[in-house]
Amino acid sequence: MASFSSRDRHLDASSGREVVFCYQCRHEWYRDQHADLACPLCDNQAVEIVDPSNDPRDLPENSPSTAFSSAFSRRRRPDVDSDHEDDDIGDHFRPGSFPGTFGRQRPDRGAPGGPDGGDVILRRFADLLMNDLGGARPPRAQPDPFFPFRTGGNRDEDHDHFGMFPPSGPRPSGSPATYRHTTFRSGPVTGTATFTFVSSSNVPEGAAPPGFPPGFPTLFSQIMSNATPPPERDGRPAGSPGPRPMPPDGLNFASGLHEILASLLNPQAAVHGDAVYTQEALDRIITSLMEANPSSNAAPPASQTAIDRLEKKKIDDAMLGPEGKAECTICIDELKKGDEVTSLPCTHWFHGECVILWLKEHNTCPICRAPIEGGQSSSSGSGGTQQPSASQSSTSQPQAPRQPEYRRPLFTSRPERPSRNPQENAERLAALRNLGNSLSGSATHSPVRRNSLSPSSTRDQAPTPIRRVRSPSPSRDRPVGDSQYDGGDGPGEGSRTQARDNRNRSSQGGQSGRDNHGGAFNWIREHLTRSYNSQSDRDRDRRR
Amino acid sequence: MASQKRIAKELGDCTTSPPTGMSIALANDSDVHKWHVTLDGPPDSVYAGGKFGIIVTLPAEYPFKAPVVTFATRIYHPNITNDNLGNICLGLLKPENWKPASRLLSVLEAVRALLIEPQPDDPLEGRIADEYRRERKEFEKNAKSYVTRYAKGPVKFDAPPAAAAPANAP
Repeated sequence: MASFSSRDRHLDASSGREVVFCYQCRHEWYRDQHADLACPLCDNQAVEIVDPSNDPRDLPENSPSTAFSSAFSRRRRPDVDSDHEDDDIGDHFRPGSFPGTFGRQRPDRGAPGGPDGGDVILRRFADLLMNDLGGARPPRAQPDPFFPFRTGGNRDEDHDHFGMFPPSGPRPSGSPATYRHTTFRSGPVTGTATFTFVSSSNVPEGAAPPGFPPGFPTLFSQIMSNATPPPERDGRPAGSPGPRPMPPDGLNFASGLHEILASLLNPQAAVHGDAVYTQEALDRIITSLMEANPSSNAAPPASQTAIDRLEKKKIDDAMLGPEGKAECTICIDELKKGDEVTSLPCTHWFHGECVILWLKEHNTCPICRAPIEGGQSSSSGSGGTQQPSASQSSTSQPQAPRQPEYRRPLFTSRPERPSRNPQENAERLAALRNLGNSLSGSATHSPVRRNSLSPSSTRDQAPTPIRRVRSPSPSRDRPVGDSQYDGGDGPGEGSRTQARDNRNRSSQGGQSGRDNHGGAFNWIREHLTRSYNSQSDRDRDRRR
Repeated sequence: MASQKRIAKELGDCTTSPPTGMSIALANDSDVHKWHVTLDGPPDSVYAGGKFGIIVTLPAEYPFKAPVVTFATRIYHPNITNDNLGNICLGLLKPENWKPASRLLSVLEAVRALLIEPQPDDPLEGRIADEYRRERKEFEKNAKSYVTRYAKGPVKFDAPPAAAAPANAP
């Protein structure tokens, strides 16, 4: 567990006494020393109670191993919201900045504390490519806190089975699609970019990721075996290992790297498995999907239970038209009084066998297209309106006299969260903005105390004069699934928000705040070209 | 077979009281799934005076799947492909819009309405749609020249129109 007691000028947050940290003047004090939650020195109220696993102070000795163990200790807290989709977003934004490491959710990532930190970076990159971008294996959505950390040094084995780390933990059943969030953060040198990949894995385990160029795993394992740790970066703690023995030539690595980058960065080919990186690639996928399945945007089939639930009744005088005649609009056969028909919630009725044939394909009424099931609203969202069609005029069907029953909430599967009222939302928003302002130096005095470990449910919070402000969590207020798949507000939006958030915090941490909007590719470019350059440098040196 | 029965009924309705300006026949007397419709260009439209062949193909799953309607005669229209396929863009026929209660009578009427009033906002031929919007005169001229070139004389359903009269024929 992270213990900072020995470090000068930082108070030990894990000793049982609460440490409070002032964002304005960076002063720290024990909470019990100073009752008021405002800085005793500068009177600023943008203060935070330091949690050992989530330390806002930039501790220079904050090594990856500390960071990871604290991340995992956070994981072990049993009271943490068990909804992984929600909590993992906040997870990755610990204010401390760890040079070049990934904040990962899976605890079996292995070897964070291994001595060769550079190797860890490359491993994680490979892991990312193979697992997260390729969707080659099912996600481990629920972390297994008891999986022991692998220690480094098992490289040969790692290369043999390319998955690097054996899967642990069963795939959660019952969830049709699972999303994985992979968040990177880069350290002080490379600026502060944070970006999140979100991918859902529909590919069965063992299946080849469809988007991979042939021989990709081979290629990559070759690179991995030739790769050396990336160069030491400035500010990297002493004690990291010296360069490992050089491979005979850096050419394989160079060419392999080139190919990877080409396949990653070429907008045409920016597709790996079920992840795409460019609008162009996404458009192409959508186009091909639409062409492959032209009726895909038609209403989905109705479930058997919904069909079974439909009301059956005998035709009575009221159902016959004024001329005393009626017909099933599907087969245009005449119906007589006393015939049994199946009636839909919209009160349109048909021969049972006729309408079932249709409902097995689409869950909407053959006449007015009102959905027959509340939860399965279809593309014809205008369920409430009944539009008489041209053909209806020739029939003598009754016209839905009673209130249709299909108007139920769209998303009933998710337990309802207490929704915040608009005013509270506005306040939270304002508080967040103020936090950002005070972080970037302007002395905004707002009663803000940020603690990203605050309970995830607003219900648990006792009313307190000081508002808590959590890291924004894009999926918090939205139904599951919604945030992932709707076009404009999907994962990209979320990661952007997070990137902004992170920039704010990191820049206050006194790190080089180079604005890094470029996202993943900048990071990859920077780290890998750096690694390659230094390697060829060293090769040259050695040959001399 | 419910499908056959319904089609036979609809065919009966359509032949006894055909939609305005149309005559309907089966392509082959033994197959009710393929209709040949001859449509007179609606008067007051640019297609007036022409005779257009329309092929209606009813899938085996009809009425649960939408019929397929194509123009056998070439036509200059924003919503009908300007080739020998003659695909037509009709909202009613799109898979997500089709419903079994729709009838062929209404489909054919919709086709005719499309000739009277093209829908340039949902085009199959973007260029023609632009022309229809911006240079109506030019559009009318082209459409009329297509009528003279392809839509005069007896309607041919089988031979692809392009083969009968190449596109660049005078």
